[in-house]
Amino acid sequence: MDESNKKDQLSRRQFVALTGGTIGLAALGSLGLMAAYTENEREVDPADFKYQENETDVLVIGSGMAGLFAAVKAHDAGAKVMMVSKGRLGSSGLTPFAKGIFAYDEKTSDYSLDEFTAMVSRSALGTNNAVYTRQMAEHSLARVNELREWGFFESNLYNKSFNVPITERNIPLIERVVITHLIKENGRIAGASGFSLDEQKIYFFTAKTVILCTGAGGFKPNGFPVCDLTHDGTVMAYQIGAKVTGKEWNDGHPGRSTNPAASYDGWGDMFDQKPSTTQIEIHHDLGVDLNYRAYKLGNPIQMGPPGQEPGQGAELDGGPFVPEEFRRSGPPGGGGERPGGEGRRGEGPGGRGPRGEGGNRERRRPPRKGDGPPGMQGSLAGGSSAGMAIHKSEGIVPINEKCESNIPGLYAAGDALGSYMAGAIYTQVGSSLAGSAVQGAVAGEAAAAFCQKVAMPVISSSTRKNIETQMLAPLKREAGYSPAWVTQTLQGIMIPNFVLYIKKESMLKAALAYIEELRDHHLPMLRAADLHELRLAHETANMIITAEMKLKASILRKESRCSHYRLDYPELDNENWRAWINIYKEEDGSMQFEKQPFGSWPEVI
Amino acid sequence: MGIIMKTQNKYYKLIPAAALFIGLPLLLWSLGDFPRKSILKEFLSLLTILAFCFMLAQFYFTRHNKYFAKGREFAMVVKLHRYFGFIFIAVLVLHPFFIVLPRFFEAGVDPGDAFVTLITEFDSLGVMLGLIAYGIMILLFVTTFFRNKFNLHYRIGRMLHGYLSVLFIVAGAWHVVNIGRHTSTPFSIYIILMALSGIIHLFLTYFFESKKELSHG
Amino acid sequence: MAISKISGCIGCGTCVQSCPTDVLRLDPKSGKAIIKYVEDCQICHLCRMYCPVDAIVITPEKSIPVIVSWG
Ligand SMILES: Cc1cc2nc3c(=O)[nH]c(=O)nc-3n(C[C@H](O)[C@H](O)[C@H](O)COP(=O)(O)OP(=O)(O)OC[C@H]3O[C@@H](n4cnc5c(N)ncnc54)[C@H](O)[C@@H]3O)c2cc1C
Ligand code: SF4
Ligand code: SF4
Repeated sequence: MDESNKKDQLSRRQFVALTGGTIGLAALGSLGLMAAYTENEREVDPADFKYQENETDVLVIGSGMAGLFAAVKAHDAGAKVMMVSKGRLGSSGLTPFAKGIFAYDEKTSDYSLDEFTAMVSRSALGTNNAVYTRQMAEHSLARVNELREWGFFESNLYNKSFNVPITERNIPLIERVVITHLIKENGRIAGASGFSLDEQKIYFFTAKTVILCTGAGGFKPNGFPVCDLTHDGTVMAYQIGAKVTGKEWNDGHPGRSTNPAASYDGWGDMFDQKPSTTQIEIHHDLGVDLNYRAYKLGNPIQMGPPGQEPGQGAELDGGPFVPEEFRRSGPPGGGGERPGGEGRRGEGPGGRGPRGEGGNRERRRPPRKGDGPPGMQGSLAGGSSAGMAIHKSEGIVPINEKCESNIPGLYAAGDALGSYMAGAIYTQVGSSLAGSAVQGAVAGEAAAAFCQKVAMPVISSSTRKNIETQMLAPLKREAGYSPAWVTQTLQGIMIPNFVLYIKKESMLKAALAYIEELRDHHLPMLRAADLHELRLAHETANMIITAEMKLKASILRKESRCSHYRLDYPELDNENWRAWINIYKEEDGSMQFEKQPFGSWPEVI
Repeated sequence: MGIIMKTQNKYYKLIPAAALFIGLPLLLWSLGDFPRKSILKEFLSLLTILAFCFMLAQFYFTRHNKYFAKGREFAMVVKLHRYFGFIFIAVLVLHPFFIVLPRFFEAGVDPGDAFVTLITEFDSLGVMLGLIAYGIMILLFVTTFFRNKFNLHYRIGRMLHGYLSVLFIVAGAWHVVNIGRHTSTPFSIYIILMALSGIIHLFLTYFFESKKELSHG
Repeated sequence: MAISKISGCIGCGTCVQSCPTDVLRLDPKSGKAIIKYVEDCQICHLCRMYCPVDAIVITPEKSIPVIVSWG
């Protein structure tokens, strides 16, 4: 490494230290890295867009694990299917990076389905939806077997195997089209609309049903490959009246403090691995324990030798509650093997130590969820997945076990569905991928059945006009805020440990004031010079709305449970809070909240 | 003693060539701002670079080069031209495979699929030039190796060899300049200069020596 | 700086498609891949692993300042 490089790194580390300790709310406008409000130096002419009309029974939005199975199963159930994604099949969203998939075989397992479900519920402190927990396990093996047939387990890259069933069935696949609007006509779903990243073209999809497989999202954080997802599906569905949930929970994956943004390097050689299956192994993991530790003891957290808990030795009282049964004692953590043995993997951050240290090609058991807190040498950084909750704890509220939303014809599956399959904490290793596959299939079949009952909807010309105006607005602005600048500002407000993770009312309210400012005075002034920036503008808008939801839901939940931790309400409150929080948009446009008791379905009028 | 002296003399004459076609490319490679990859990848890259530079050198390792005019040297050059030709054509025949070979040992796209994408990328000028150069190279090899079988008149065979070489080096050099992984500006200049001077050298020999050739047989 | 160099590109466009965050584009003039929006690179290496000729080089540093929660 040459001198300039070293200097670079030094200043970067200082910057990181700065972010951890002192910016945050004070950051608004102070990053000063790029011009905030400037002229829009347009590279494309907003008056010069072509249109493409499409019509289908089932429109699948998203091309990850959930989208794959939604498309395949809807087709096999006799529906005409189309798939659209803002990225590439099997190479966008979180799916490309997940390597462990849960495969439950009742015949060979030591646990029955009921025992498994009960164990997850105990770890999840009631936050899981047992119907979805059970459904995931029940169908996981069948989905894994189909994946095996398509060659999924033969490569670390998934595009080829995902293409097998899609091309076999001639399912039209439209990639690199960013969906910005879901369309509702006469109280039910009528389709969706978006724009291409490659040419000046607006896509309209008229569809009897839409399955959102748009994954989760985050605040374009550093160290977790979720920067292409900004909860688009959730926000689009919210805008047309769908209920969404889970915004108070957090995913607590840490990254590394050297080059914290390098997700590939941070995950050791995990992205290089071919996928494999996991068996029953239930934890209570990767919530905000490390965040609490960093908050209380200072940071960076130094990782000890493998087998030692981070920051071990220091006394630490309080913090997120972990049920006795799932407490780590003795040798876990670090690189310690857990029951389950070699070859299993779930998810877990953190290559152990910088790649250079152990040698590039060194083969080690890939990191997995069981390793959390991760066995990394050196120090950690927090917030690598900021803006994302535990997989499947946030998203569209299902009204039944068929992945259906409260909007007729609108379904969601995988990370886009707030199914609470795992609960508000990571429980079963590898169940996220399996859950997306299973729910995709369930939603696909349900949507295909729904199609048989309804006629093809019509999208009115006034709806089209409105959508086009909203979609292209950032391109049309003569001047405005750069999406990148607004995003950085939002990151400065939301990502600090003392805002998003270790919560207290005063700070949540302060952050909310900033976010409302972005919502009211920046979101309407986002500009875009080209199609890439147009995507960023829409993503930024979605992040602002998500941030508002997260802060408000966090203020509302006056207790601590699983991955939601309140300094001012550190205890479980079973009397008042054995309930999920649903968020929906009132007729007047205001954001409304309701409680839905654990173990119940929402009331639909 | 005498024999050693002779050999020393003979090979001494190759030093400038070695400097020009091995030393200089190595220097450009080591000074260039190229990403350094694994040992295997670097080795394969260097092998390919040197193979191509030797193809450039072939224009000088000919019996018509006055520089190697003496009997002993003459024989040596004829031999070297043949050996270098066969060895480095073999390397260049294999070089498309070198590109995907490391994928057998690391994560990523399947090497077979990568290879198919690579050789069917007909939209790419660089790939098309490569395919053309590859074809000519095979032809060059076949017409030389089986020269006797084809029963070609020596002079026609020589002309054919010369013209094919020119075509090969034009397509090849263009291919390298267009998509070579290591084609920095200095490398491009080097390759273009060497190729041009090689071609000029060849045409000069053809024009000025054609008469002499005829009488020589 | 994240994705940092492309050399030996044959212009197949695979990386453009495979990049989740839309960092790459094909240059209309040369027909080859260019790094157009480096600041959006999430350093995930998908483009590199999908490239048939292994033309892409990625370094672990982000090109813009990085915001973390702690550490
Ligand atoms: C590093 C890492 C490791 C992981 N490890 C594991 C593991 O070992 N085991 C496990 O079970 N889980 C793991 N997970 C979680 C798992 O990857 C996800 O839960 C799962 O893949 C989600 O699949 P999905 O299909 O629901 O969504 P995603 O795969 O996220 O797909 C979302 C899709 O929606 C598309 N999309 C989004 N917005 C739009 C829009 N506006 N317009 C059009 N298209 C859009 C995207 O392009 C993408 O194709 C891991 C995740 C990460 C990041
Ligand atoms: S490393 Fe990932 S984010 Fe960066 S350019 Fe490549 S594919 Fe895109
Ligand atoms: S994948 Fe590789 S060869 Fe294809 S366009 Fe991208 S860099 Fe070029």
